[in-house]
Amino acid sequence: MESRQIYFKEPFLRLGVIGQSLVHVFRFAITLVLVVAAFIFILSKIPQLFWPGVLLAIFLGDAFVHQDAGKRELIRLPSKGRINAADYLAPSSLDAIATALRKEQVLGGDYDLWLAKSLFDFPEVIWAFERLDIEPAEVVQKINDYLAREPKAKLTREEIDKRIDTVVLQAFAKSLDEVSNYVMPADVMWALSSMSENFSKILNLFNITPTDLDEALVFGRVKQTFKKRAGGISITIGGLAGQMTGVRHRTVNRAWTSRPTPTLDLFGSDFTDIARAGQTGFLIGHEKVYERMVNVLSRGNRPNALLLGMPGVGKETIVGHLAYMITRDKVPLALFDKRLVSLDVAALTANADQPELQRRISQIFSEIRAAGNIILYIPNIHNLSRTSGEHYLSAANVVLPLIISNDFPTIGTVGPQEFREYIEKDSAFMDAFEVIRVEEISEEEAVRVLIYDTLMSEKNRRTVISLGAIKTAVSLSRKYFREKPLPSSASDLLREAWAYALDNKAKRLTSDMVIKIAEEKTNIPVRKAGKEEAAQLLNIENLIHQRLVDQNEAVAAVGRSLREYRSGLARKGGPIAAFLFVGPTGVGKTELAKILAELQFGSEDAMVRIDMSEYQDESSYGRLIGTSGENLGGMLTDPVRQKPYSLVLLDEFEKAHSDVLNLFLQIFDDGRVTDGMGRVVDFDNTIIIATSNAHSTFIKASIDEGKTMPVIADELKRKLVDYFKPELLNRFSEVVVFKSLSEKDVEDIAKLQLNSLARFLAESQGITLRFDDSAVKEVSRLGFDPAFGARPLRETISKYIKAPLSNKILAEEIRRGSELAISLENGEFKFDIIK
Amino acid sequence: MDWIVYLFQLFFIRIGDFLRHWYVSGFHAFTDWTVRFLELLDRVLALKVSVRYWFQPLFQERSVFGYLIGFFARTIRIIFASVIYTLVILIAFGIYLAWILLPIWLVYKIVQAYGIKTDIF
Repeated sequence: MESRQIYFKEPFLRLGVIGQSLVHVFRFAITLVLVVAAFIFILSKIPQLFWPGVLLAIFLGDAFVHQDAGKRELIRLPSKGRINAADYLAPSSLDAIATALRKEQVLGGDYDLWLAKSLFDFPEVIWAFERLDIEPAEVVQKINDYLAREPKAKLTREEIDKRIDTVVLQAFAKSLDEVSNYVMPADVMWALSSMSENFSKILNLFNITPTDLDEALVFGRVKQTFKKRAGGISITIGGLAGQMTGVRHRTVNRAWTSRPTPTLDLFGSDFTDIARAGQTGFLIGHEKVYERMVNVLSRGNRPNALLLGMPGVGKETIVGHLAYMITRDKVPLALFDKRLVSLDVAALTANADQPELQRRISQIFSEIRAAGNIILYIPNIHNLSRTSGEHYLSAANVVLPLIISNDFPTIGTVGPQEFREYIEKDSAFMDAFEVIRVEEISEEEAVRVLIYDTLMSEKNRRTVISLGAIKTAVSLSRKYFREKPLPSSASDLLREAWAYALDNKAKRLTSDMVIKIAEEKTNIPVRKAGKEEAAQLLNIENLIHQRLVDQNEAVAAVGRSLREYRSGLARKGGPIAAFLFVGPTGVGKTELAKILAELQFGSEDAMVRIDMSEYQDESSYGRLIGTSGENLGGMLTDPVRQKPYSLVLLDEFEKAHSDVLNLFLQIFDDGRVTDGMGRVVDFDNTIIIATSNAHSTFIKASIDEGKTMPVIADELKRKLVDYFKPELLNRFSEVVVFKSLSEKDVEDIAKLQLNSLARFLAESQGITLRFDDSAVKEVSRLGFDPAFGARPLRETISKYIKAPLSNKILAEEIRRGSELAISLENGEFKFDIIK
Repeated sequence: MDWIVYLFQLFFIRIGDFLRHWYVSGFHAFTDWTVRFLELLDRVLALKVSVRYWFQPLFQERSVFGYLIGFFARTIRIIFASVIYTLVILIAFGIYLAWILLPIWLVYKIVQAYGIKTDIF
């Protein structure tokens, strides 16, 4: 770019308003006259007219063919010299710029807004806004409002010319980045969105950032690409579209050096045939993995690559892309003119006894060696090594030496669990292959994959998918659906939401529909991030106190830590927060954890509860993180892997074995741990709460002595080293001390629980329930135990209130619409039916 | 009156555009098409690959017979491919020649129709 000097000079824009309009009129009139003249001349059959008519016709034909084209194409941009950006402007872009200029000259107002308005005449801009779930007419209306409000004609002509130059040059740079042929209206719109103050304000009103708009404009660009390359693009992004039909199978290579492989063809499928049929090919993300795989396969020694990654991460897409590149001759010489054939191990071992299996394998591999042009692909290669079946064992034993022989390149794929279980400990396997890890693609890449996927699938369906829906599907899948990696997880969610939209005859699949489906799948109200969440965090103490009585210091400590995390001031690389709740039984430690799970993650179901008293011996460590040998998932790691946004409650933390406690040292520090299957489990999005009754008598005694909570907390923290190592205590975000409950506290809790019962009864049975103070006092008296705090309260309510109520409901003494008052009379609860 | 000047300029710009489209873009289109077509043909006729493997045995048959057959079969293939490629290039060149001459020929016909004597063709 250094040697290029880009400038913008367009004589048409130098004309005045009337001049531009007259040029339009005359051009139209002259074109019309020339068309009629050419027609008449050709029909006249008079040589003096006929030949000029033909020349005129090809002249007009040329103008017609190039009506949407700029003067020059960006792909043939000279590498140096002075370049006029006007030559590369699509006529539609010039038209928008000129129209805006005329309107600004006549009506005044902000030129940028006039330009933005003009750009809404072009389909690619309209598509982009529609994809953003925004009605283009509403944006135009807002622009009109701004234009009506803004002071008129502030800029001189020179200033406006300068403005146009800047916008066009910015758009020109964008078109070069996007490898467009010309500077299109979408590029001008993008330039405007990042440069115009007023237009940015309007976009802000609709919550659109320049990045959002850029991504949405991709839809238009891709659509144009599809139009241009109709038939030249693969019909699927990831993996294979299915069984191909009607494609000629090439048994012999172009160099005539290979031999047919009939047995291999019987137990495999030729990916190069499939790629030639256009049913596999595109690769988004994973470029480095692809390059590394190609390098490994091209080398002379050990040309065997083992792609290691979660199912659905895109291993087969990478292999499919290699097949596609082979068919396009865009591979190194070592892979040129080769066939990429996948071997189906299940088919190979089906209905075959030991000798038959050996015969098949030896036949296939002798064919591969003789052919000399095969790249062998073995999906789920661990199946060869499975010890569960005799045949599998035999398969591995026979196949591995052949693969090690370096006679042909091999690609294998395997998941992390299977890798750990079958491959890692097999030194022959590990020696034969170069292990290449395939990680999950980024959210941005997943969005791009789904945009392409969407445009291809939309052809056959009537519902249009908005960019918001795609982005929501990607971000929700990343948070809540971790069974599969991106983009598979997001693609599944989007597909379900699409089916929902089709069922409801909706023309547009919006992000709200995706959220609805995600909520149905998770049973968790999907929390909206952003301002709403921030407001909730600022007010979190009050929200907690609606359900938790007193424990002000504990609640304040929790609120402080969560706000610190949300504001970005917390230490990076660990869980959202890790709390140690210390205090006597029944004072609200678990209750606060439940409330936090609901406030932070939308539901109490987002709580993973583990009783640490079950992990007192050394061997229990394996139960927490899982063991590969027994193929058991971890009680801690599995739920967190499946629900990375969750609250982990570790009850009676002090009772766990020291090895188990050491595991949490790592989790609190790095926010991640490797489970027994070799998978990395992320705790970055969890809140971890460990509860402990340690030194609860000390807390009670200190309160009785009249010490304040901060003093008690300080002393307690020093005493906790009797149970926990100092380094573990230091890694907690807060050690939160819960005090014993007073009589008044228990009464308040009783009131809360009775009110909750009344609410439930009103909602489910339509029965109104009232309690008088004497009844509440009696419930709190019966439900309080000095040793267990308020824990017996629920049981008391169940025994003295719920049980008599159930009898009355069953006996139909009270029914929907009834009103009931509960009071205390002579030490007994009295149920008065008012109506 | 700027607009009249602009219209005149536009007239010449349009003629310039026509000539550039016809000759420069036309040249690019013809060469792109020819190269693409040759690439497509090469997937079957494989001239370059055949030259690279000229002295290799046919279908991995590493006997004297295999080497001999390989050499002769590939020689025939190379000759056949060369003839076809030459034909394709000649035809493409011929079409492009006709293409570039068409406007000139039309101008000649116009001049001829108006009875102006010329010895160009």
